[in-house]
Amino acid sequence: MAGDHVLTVDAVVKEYGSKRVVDRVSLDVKRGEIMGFLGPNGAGKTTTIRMIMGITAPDEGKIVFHLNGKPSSQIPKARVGYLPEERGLYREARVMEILVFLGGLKGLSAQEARKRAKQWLERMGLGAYANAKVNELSKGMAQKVQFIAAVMHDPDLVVLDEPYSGLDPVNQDVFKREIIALADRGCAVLLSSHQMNLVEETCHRLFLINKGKRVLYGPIREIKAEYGVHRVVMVVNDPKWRLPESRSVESVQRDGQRWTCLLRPGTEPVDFLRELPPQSPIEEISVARISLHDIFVRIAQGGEAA
Amino acid sequence: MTGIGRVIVWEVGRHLRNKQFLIGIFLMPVIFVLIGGIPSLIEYLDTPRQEVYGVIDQIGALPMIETQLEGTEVRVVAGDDTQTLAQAVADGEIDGYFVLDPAFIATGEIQVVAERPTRVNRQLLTQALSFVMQQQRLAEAEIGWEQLAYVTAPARVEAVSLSTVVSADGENGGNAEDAEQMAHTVMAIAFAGALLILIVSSGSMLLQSALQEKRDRMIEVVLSSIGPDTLMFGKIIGQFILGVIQLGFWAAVGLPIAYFAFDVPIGDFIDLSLLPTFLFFTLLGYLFFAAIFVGIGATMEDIQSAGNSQGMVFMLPVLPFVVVGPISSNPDGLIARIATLLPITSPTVAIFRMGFTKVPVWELLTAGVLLLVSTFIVVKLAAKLFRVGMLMYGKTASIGEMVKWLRQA
Repeated sequence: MAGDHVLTVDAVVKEYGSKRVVDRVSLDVKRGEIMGFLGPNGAGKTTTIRMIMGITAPDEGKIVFHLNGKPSSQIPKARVGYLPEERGLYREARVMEILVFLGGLKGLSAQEARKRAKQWLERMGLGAYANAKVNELSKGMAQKVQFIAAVMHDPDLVVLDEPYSGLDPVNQDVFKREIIALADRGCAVLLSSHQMNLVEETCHRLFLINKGKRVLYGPIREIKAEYGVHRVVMVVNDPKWRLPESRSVESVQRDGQRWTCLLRPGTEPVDFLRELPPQSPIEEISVARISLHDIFVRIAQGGEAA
Repeated sequence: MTGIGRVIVWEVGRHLRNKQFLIGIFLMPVIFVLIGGIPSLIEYLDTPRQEVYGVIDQIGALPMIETQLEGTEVRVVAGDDTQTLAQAVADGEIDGYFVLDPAFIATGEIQVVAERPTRVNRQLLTQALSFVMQQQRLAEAEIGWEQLAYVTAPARVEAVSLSTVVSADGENGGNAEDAEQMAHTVMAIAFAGALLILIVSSGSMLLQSALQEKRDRMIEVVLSSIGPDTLMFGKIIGQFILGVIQLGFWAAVGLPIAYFAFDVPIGDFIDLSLLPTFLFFTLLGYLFFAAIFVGIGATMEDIQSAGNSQGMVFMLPVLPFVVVGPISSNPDGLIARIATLLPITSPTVAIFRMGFTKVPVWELLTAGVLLLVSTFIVVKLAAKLFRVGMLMYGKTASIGEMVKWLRQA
C-alpha cells in the first residue's frame, strides 16, 4: 500500500440549524487503501460523505484532494466515483443507456463508456442484461449496475456508502472481491458499511464516528489490539462451580455450562488463566479478541471504545 | 461534450424513446380537435325540434308567414276549422293553432292554442306575425312594401382602420394595411398560444423530470459528477427542445393541411419583423416559468403531495387567460398595459397584444427589462431550492422550510 494521500479531510464541521451534525472530523485516505468509515445510524457518516463529494459544503474546515499532482479543494469529479446510500436507477431506462449517460458525465466518450460498461457487465455476470430495462432487474443486479456506474471511469478515489446492504452472501463476496481489486489497482476507497465482518475482511484502516465526532481512527489491527479486549469462553461441567473474584474480569455471562468472561483492557489472557483454581472442572476453553462488531456495538451504545 | 450538453442529450433522448411522450405528440392535437369540435358536433346533432302550427287564415296572409318562417324550426299549415285543429293538437299531430282574422290586424292580439303553451316558440311567431300585421296595416294606409323596407331598414355598422380612410393609395393601400394587421393578429395569437402550450407541457415534464430524479434516487449519483446548476439548466434546455420538437411536429403536420386542404393562406400570416420580439418574450417567458417549475418540483416528494401553495404555482402560466378578453377588446387599455409589464403575464400578453395594436416601444422595452431581471432572480432562487430540495427525501417541503433554504443556501 502506497503512502501518498488522495483525500484529506481537515476538521470539517456541518451544522443544520443549531444542531452540529459533524464536529471537527479529520481523516485521510491513501492511494491503494480501503478506509472503513463506520458509525451508528445518524452518526454523521452520510453528511461527511456528501461534503467529500461536493454535494454539500462544510461550514468549517477543508477537504483537499491530491489527484492531479497538486492539492485542490475543488473535487475533481471526473476522477472520483460515488455509490451513495440513497441510490437507484432510472426505472424506465435501459442498463446500457444509464451507464453510457453516467460514464459521459464522468468525461468518457459514448463509445468508450459503452465499451467499458460492456466489460464491467460481463465481469459482474450481467452481460445478458445490457439492454434490459432497470425495472426488469433484481435488487442485487441493480446494485451491481450502480457499482459499475461508480467505478467504470477508473477513478482514483471511490466513495462507497453501504455497498453491501441488501446483498445476499454470494453477491457480498462479489462486491468484496471487486473492492479489494480496486485498491490493488491503486484506487483509494472510502467504504461506509454496517457489515462489520466485511469491513474487517476488506479494510486496511477505519474511522469510527459517533454523534458527529471521531471515536476511533487507525489501522484495524492496531484498533483491535488496543480496544479489542479478550473474551474467554469456558465450558464447565460442574454446576456448583463459581468463578473466583478477579480484577482481570470486566464482566461475566453464564449460559448453563457455558461461561463467557470479558477481560479488562490491558489484561493478558494468561494472567486470567493463572487466577483460575487448579482444580477447576473446565472441559473446554477458548480465548479470542472481541470482534470489530463488538467494538462498534459498545461504542454505538454509548460506551467507550474499550 | 460538456456536462450540460450530456444532460440535454439525455433528457431529449430518453423522452424521444419514451412511448408516452410519442403518443402524447400524436394525441394532443386529437384532444384539441375533440375539445374544439365536440360543442359543434353536439350543436349539429342536437337539431331543434320542428314545430308545426295550424292556421285558420281569414285575411290571406298565410304565404307571407310561410316566407317569414322559412328556414326556421317553426312551420305553419293551413287549417279548416278550430275543431279539426284542436283535435290535431290533442292527437299530437301539430303543436298548436291560431286564427288570422281582421281583429288581429286591428288589435295586434292573437291567441296560440297549444297543448303545452310554455313550449310555443313565441319569439319566432311574434316576429313573423308582427311583420304580417305591419304589412296589413301599411296596406290599409296605402304605404307600399318598398317604402316600408326603406323605413324599417336597420343601420349597418362596419369598423374600418384609419389607414383605409387616409391612405394615399386609396382602397388598395388600405387593404394592404388591413392584411398586415390581420397577419399580426394571427401570428400573435399563434405565438402566444404556442408559448402557453410550451410552458404548460414542458413545465409539467420538467416537474416530472425533477420528481423522477428524486423518486429513482439518482440525484446524488448525478450530483457527484456535475453541479446542481448544470443539472437544472440541462433539464430546462432539454425540455425546451422537446417542447419545440412537439410544436414543430404539429406545425409540420398542421400547416400543410391548413394550406392545402382548407386554403388557409399561411404565408400571409407570417411577418418576420415581429419575430425577434416574439422570440425574446418566448425564450424568457419559458425560462421564467421553467425555473419556477423545476425549483418548486425539487421541493416536492411527489405530485400528489404538493400543497395548495405549490399547486397554485402551476396555475400561474394560465393567468393571461383571465385578461385575454379585455385585451382583445381594448388592447391599449389599462389592463392590457399593466399585464404587459407584469413579468408573470408579460411574455404571453406582450405577444398577444402586439397582434391587436401597435404597442409603444417604451412599454415593450420596460416589459423586456422587467422580465429579464425577474427571470434572473427567479432562476437564482430556483437554483437554491433545487440544490437543497433535490437532496431531501421522504417529504414535501413547507413554505417555511423553503424560505429557510433560500436564506441559507
